[in-house]
Amino acid sequence: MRREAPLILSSVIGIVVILEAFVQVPLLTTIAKELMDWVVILSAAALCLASVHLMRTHIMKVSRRSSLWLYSVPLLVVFIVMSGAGLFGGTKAPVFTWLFDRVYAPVDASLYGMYAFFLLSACFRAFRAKNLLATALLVTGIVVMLGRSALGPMLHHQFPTAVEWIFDIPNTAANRGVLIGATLGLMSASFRLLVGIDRSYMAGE
Amino acid sequence: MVEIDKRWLYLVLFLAVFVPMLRPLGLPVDVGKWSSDVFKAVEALPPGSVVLLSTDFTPSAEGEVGATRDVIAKHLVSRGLKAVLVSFVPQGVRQADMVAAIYEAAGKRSGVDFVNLGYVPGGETGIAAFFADIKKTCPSDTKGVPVEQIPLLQGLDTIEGISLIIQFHTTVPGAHEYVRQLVPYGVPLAIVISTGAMATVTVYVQAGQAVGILGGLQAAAEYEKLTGFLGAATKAMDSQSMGYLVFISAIVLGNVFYFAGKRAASRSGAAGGKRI
Amino acid sequence: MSTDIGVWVAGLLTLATYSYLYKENPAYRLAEYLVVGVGAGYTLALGWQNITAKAIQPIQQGRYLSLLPLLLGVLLFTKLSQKQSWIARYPMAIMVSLGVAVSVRGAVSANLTRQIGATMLPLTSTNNILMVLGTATVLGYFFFTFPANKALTYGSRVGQMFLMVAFGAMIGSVVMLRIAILISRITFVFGDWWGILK
Repeated sequence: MRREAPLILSSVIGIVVILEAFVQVPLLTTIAKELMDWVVILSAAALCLASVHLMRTHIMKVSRRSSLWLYSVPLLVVFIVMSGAGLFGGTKAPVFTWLFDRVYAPVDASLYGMYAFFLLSACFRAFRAKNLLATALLVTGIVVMLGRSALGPMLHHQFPTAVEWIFDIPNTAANRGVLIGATLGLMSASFRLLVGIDRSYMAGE
Repeated sequence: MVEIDKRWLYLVLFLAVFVPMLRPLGLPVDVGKWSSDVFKAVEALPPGSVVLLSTDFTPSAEGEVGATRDVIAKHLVSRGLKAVLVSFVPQGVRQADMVAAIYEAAGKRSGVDFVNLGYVPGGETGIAAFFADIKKTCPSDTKGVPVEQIPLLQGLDTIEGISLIIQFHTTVPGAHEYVRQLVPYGVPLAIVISTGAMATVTVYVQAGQAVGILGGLQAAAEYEKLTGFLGAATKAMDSQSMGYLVFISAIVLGNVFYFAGKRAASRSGAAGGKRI
Repeated sequence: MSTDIGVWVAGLLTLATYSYLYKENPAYRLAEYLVVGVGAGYTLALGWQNITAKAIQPIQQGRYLSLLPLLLGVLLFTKLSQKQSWIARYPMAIMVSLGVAVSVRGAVSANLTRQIGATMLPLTSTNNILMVLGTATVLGYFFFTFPANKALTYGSRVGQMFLMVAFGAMIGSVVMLRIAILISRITFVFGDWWGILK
């Protein structure tokens, strides 16, 4: 029953919620709405669990003197300060917002912005027009970059229109095909999950 | 193949972006169709209408959509439109705070002209729950005021009471989840998106599921031009154009060197000589 | 130059992060670990705030039904124990099945019927023909469930071309994205911090 009960629960809930969208029965709507509220609360608990698990990992690293354990010490210090400020002072506490705005935000943005340099290196070393398809890809990329900047209109006034056409027609057509295909895949994967064939979310199975 | 230390490439990119900041080039900004569509959608709303701003982006996307967030907030304030702020991404709460700050700086009152409902966990399920019952999903705003005591939310039970949704999509959940969950409601949706994902949401505009797209810094500059609230995005356009030039040059030169090297190698191979 | 200590901290951390471009070093690693620590503290505080607002306070106001999701949330923490982690399957089952069901019921209309409907265009203009052709051939490219006949093979090659145009648009867009973020960081360092930019 340890394996079967959660699977049965999952199937029943899934079927009820899907049915609710297509069959107008007040009881189904009430149950579906209530369950969605439950998931909001469960997701909040999952956030806390993720943080606690992460900290447990780093505490173990420090206690066992594992590789790079010294870096885990400032990590744990800022975690304690940040979570303490948030838990006791609320998410508008000055220390809480300061750490987020002055530590988290700049590093997060800088990590993301670094990719510009790696992408440049890739453009120079790896993006090769070796065949017709690769050439189409690169030419489209170049046209899009020109059209979405001030350079394109300086070369030809139709550049922005050309870029809008690329996004509106061939790009939309391709992405629509991908979206429809992905949706069919989503439905089949969901079916497998709801009938218990796919049990990957039950870790340890 | 010409071997260049990649750090020289990095320096070229840095200089191409930095120098126009010191000496602006004054390159023009042309307004595109998508930015116009979103602008018209906001302009069409009568004063007092309620707009939902869903700030679902992290600080990593600040450079891309932060300017759009600010100019949209200023536009909504100037049109007398009320804002309900929410985020389905944990870090988006701070972004909503920045919109609230713009409203407060204009003398608007929390609870009357705008309300910040904070973060709603659960991803797409959270979005579905919020759309179905706003007050139950968010029992209080970020200041701890119960929703029953917030005048702006009186009579606003579901998402159907919202006149326009402006959703900032840079991560999950985002525009795709919004479009799926808006099916029963039919509320118009405008998508503010990082340019990297812009190509994936044009399908919704073409199918009539979104009124328009504001994609990245370029769109922010266009919107600033439309509204007259010139800001960070307009200033960044010169650097952006020079940055693109570096990338285009890298692609072109990389291919030129590659094919030249290949030709030289095949010639020396045909002549029976050593490969260079 | 700014005299705000917060700006200095942010600026130094920005430089520490970008020092990776020269080579990996302790300053970069420290910045990485700090952002993880702050991020974890942030999500813990925000998660707890939501549990308080959406479960504990309603219970205090008499809505006892919220005890059930609160209890399930506590059961989630059994994941931390190897022996008891099987208990967490129940809340996980609810979360996963509900998430899937909510996605699927919206996808049927939003991603299938509406999108297919938007593709049903009169073949009276080049754009309409390209739209229909592109959508059909890209879908054909992803058919792997049966051997392709000649029509499907040629069709999928056309679909590949459409896909390459879409990927090219995406690559151009990704470049734009990265440059925009780089611009914001340079503006911060040389504008807000060093005061060189006006």
